[in-house]
Amino acid sequence: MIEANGLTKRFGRTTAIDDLTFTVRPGQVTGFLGPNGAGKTTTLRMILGLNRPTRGSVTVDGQVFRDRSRGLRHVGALLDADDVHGGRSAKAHLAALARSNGISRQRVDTVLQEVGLADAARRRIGEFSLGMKQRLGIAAALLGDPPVLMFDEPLNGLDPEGVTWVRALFRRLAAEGRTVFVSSHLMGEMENTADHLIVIGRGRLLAAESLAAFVARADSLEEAFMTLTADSIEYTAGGSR
Amino acid sequence: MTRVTSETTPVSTPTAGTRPPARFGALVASEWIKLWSLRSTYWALGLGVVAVIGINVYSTLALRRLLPEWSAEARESYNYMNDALGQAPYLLLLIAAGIIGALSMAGEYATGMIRTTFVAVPARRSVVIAKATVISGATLAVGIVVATTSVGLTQVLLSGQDAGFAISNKGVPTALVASAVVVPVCALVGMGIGVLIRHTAGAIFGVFTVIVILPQLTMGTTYSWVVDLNNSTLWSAWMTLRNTPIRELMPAELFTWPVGASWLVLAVWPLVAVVAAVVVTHRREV
Repeated sequence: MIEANGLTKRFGRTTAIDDLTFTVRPGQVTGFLGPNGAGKTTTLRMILGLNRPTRGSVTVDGQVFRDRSRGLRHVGALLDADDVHGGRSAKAHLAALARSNGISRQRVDTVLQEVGLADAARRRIGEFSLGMKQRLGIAAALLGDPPVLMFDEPLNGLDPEGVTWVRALFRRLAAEGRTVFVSSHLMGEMENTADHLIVIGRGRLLAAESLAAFVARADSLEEAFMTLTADSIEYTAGGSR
Repeated sequence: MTRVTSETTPVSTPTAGTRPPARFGALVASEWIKLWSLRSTYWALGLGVVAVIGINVYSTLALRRLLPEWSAEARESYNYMNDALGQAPYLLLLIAAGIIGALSMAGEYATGMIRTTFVAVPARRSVVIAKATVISGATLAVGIVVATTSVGLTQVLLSGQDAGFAISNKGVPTALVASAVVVPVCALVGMGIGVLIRHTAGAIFGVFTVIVILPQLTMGTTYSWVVDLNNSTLWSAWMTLRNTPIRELMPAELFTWPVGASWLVLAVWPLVAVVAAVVVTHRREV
């Protein structure tokens, strides 16, 4: 369970996140939606203690994440597939992460197998395609078998097989009783995967309801999203508003 | 709460409290894996080791050819440390150590790996201290091997030539220990620079500035504060300690600080670097 309460973040004069209050519940996949620049990534980073809230707070299973000494058994997160050192092999990367959290070497092999990178385990990450890096990031998130998982645009660069696999993985993780929080711009994917949605625009909460309720606002998820966020779009192609 | 199926590491409930204790040793082991899974580590240290030992042996061989023409007085007053632990190759080793330290932090910041690291271990201060432990341990081992091998080999080459020095000579143990210790000292200072600068190229330039350029900028002997500044650089502290065996023969204006003060220099630099690294890393948003 992720609980944000009055979460606010300012960078200088700009308010990136404005008084966000929401709950991400276990046992379901929660989609995190919003136009570019809405503050999704900043929110995920605050949940993980990488950014400090200006005001308000956010807890994961009742505790501020940064107060924990080790993280992987509590939260698995894929924020950016490029947040890795390209000079290391996939296996060494995961082995270092696992060791820091007292997770066994066998578990590294298990997750590499699970994400389909067993054959590439000894290759340097710098040689990986984006899709392979996404798989590696998912492997890292799964390492600690955590009750809470967060993914920021996990489908970027994945091949069709990968997309199908990730969809099934998220469903399975949620069915196992875990909290699964996924940000994505792919409305079709969200419609297929999410049970619940949290929608933000310009750092403010626009909607927090079940997928069915949200879709019922219009004819489709995409249309409901476009209507709801119409006033919150910061960047528009061609500059027209 | 729904039961979570476990694989190799069981998760009982999403708020499970029973966990293996967070051990610092595990963080050290993790950082050890990180250090030795990068090619740059082998390149930098390998180059440093080969350069110091190779060049010192080579210059001692050259010295051996010159010795027969030297007077007894010349042999008596020569600083054999110049070939046993020559400045130029040692500078290369110190730069290599500094770069390894700098890359250990700047490499994580520049690639974004730092975020992955801090999600795995939110206790950031422990991460920095574990990194410092690994970096200093590995480079100290290198320093010990290089200093003893270089001194040992070169003095064996000079044996029977009525030249060189014995390990038991006055000041030689000091020179040896200082030469081993200055390697991890430079690595830790590099690590501090890596935290402050965060970009690999910038951090490497910072290492050069502190280890190489700072002693050059403060070569003047007119003002005493400039002399003090020079004496407080890592390079001059190491030179003072390395030259302990022939301290009486040194020109008066060079390396004017006592041995004790030079040890202090080698202690304060890394201490400040590690404290800065810990404090800044703890506070910074990444």
